[in-house]
Amino acid sequence: MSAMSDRDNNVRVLSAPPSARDSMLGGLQSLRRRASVPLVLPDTVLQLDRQRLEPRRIAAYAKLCGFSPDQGVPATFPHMLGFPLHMALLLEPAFPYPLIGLVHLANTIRQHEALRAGETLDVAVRFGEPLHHDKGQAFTVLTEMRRGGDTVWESGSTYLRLGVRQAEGQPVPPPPVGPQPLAVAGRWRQPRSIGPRYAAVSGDRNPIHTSRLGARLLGFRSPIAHGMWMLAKSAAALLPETPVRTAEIEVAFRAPAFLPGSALLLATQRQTGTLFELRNGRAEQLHLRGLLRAEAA
Amino acid sequence: MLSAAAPRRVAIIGGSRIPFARANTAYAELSNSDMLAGALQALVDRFDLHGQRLGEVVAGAVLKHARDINLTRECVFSTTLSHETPAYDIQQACGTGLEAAILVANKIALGQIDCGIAGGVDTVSDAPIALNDGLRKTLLRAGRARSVGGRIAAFGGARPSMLKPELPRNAEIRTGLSMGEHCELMARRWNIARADQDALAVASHRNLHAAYEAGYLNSLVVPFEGLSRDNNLRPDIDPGKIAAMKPVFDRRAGTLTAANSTPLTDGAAVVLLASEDWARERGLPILAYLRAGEAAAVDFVRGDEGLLMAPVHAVPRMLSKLGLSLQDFDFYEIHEAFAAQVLCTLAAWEDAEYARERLGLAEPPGAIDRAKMNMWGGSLATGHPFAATGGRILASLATMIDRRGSGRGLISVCAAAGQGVVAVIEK
Repeated sequence: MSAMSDRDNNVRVLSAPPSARDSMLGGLQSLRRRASVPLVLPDTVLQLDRQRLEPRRIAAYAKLCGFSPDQGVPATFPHMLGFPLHMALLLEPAFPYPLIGLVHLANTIRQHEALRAGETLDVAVRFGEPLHHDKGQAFTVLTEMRRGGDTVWESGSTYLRLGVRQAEGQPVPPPPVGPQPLAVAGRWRQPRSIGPRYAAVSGDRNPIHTSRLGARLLGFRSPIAHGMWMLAKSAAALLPETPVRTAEIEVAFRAPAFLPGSALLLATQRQTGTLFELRNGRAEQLHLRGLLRAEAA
Repeated sequence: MLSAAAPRRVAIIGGSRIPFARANTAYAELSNSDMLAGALQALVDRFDLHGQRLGEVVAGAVLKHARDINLTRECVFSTTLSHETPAYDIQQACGTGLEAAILVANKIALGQIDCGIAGGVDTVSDAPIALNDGLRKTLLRAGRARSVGGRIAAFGGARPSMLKPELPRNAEIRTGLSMGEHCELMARRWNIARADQDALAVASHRNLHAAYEAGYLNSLVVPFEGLSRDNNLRPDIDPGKIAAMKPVFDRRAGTLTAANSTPLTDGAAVVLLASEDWARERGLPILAYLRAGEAAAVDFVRGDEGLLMAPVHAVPRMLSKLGLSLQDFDFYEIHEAFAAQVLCTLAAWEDAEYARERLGLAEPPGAIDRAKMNMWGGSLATGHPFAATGGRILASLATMIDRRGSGRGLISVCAAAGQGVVAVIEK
């Protein structure tokens, strides 16, 4: 996730984020795509400058994810600014897979400097290397947020296209190692409404999260919670009560969480950080497993 | 509090229990009182305590009806013991039976009493079903109302949903997880393999069967309501069938099955404890002495510790007071709530990092000789009527030591809400 300047010739600077309508239409059109073998990921870099960490949007996001106002700009919030560019990148003509049906496998977030509500950041996204997965082809979308010339926040979102044989690349990294966490760090209801509400805040309007019919059509018995919402909700419970300067959050997603449902957050302190798992209310199903480190501002 | 010149040794004279029965089988129509009185009377008969006034009788039940406020005292009335024998109930989840024995033993040691009976009983078949809390509150509100109008208004708050009764749940209040679900997490934490759990369950059944066949339990188990042996016991247990069973708490990736978890059980067990003088005056045998007892609790909610791990903490604490090591025992009785919980306990005692960070010990307590553990079967085979298990184990272990002539045994019982009760007996 180093500097993107060496690939300047492929940088396309957008003037505005793609609208939700464009993303949705593009998403539908992308259903006509067929998987190509071998996979060639476009080396396009999409850039959107001066994106504002909007206080009102932060407040709405924080409320939905369980962050308190005292925690400042949630370390997971910049994903909101990066996500429309993810969509645009996945809609690039050279990207071979349909958007619908991509499985969010893992997400890493690295915040290097404290974020201030109201400031503007330059956002850029591009593809990482392809990754090999037992069930198909995985790849990572890298996001970088810069203040002036400095990278203050970056993330990697790993997605999986199921059913691709002879997947390319290195194996997908395993989830964080360590024992089963046992301390109960949180317990909450995951109401049916959380899908549409998070969709409205994040712009991730994938019908598997928002609509019963949509979920059914795509093979789920009921809508499932957004992985990034569960990640944020877990991080809210585990991050310090005060704003952080740096944060590292690494999460592997596992079984989907059907809505409505309940969730149990388990954690354990290791030398490497806080190892955590979000499980269903009966603790039998693992929704995500992660590792979190943070340094107060 | 010391009523004698110096603390006295506490003798274990003997125990009686009724065969344990899987829930809704042989004792389906019986109450806690029926079973506890049955076990008590058997003990009274055996040691000819008819008409005798004992120091006290202490027992309890985990699942108890609201009407059973004086369960143990009422049971005394149902026996041929002197009705002037005081009694009280205690409850410390699955630790009830052993804790009751520690309480009686303490009074004997201090000279407050010379003899007493400790035990416990539980029924899942005759579990209390409570009025719906909403309906209960409505009725109480109506009772408080001072006018007819107020009463009508109170009943106006009643809803059809309030007719749904409240059933007792085997779930921890703080986490909402059942004990089995907690134990699944523990099994994952300690990487306990399914095969090892199944092997422990098979050993439990085989050991219990062998103990019955050898007649070791003749002095301990009294036939009751048509049962002469615990009806959960599978003498011809088939390891192949057990290995094929599906997990019950985590159906996808779990390792706990109906075979390697204790079944819900009905039963009662009691133990007679006394000072040495009291026993000698009556020519009663002394099987062994209750030397020490200890209870511990862990924060399984926030503390990153397993629900059933309290005995892991209690045992080294108790042993350091006695100057004993975990290897200084001839017998180990580790209550088998789940095979996984036993194996987690053993694994934790062997783990150096855990000993340092959680137990505050420079060296881990270490491994035990598994051949000395639960030699006459454990709760997996016998069944586990929660409060009765402590009495069962105490009397069995004392009998084992007596048969050997001398020796030392460790008892470890885990209990709900992150508690554990442990004891040392020896002769």
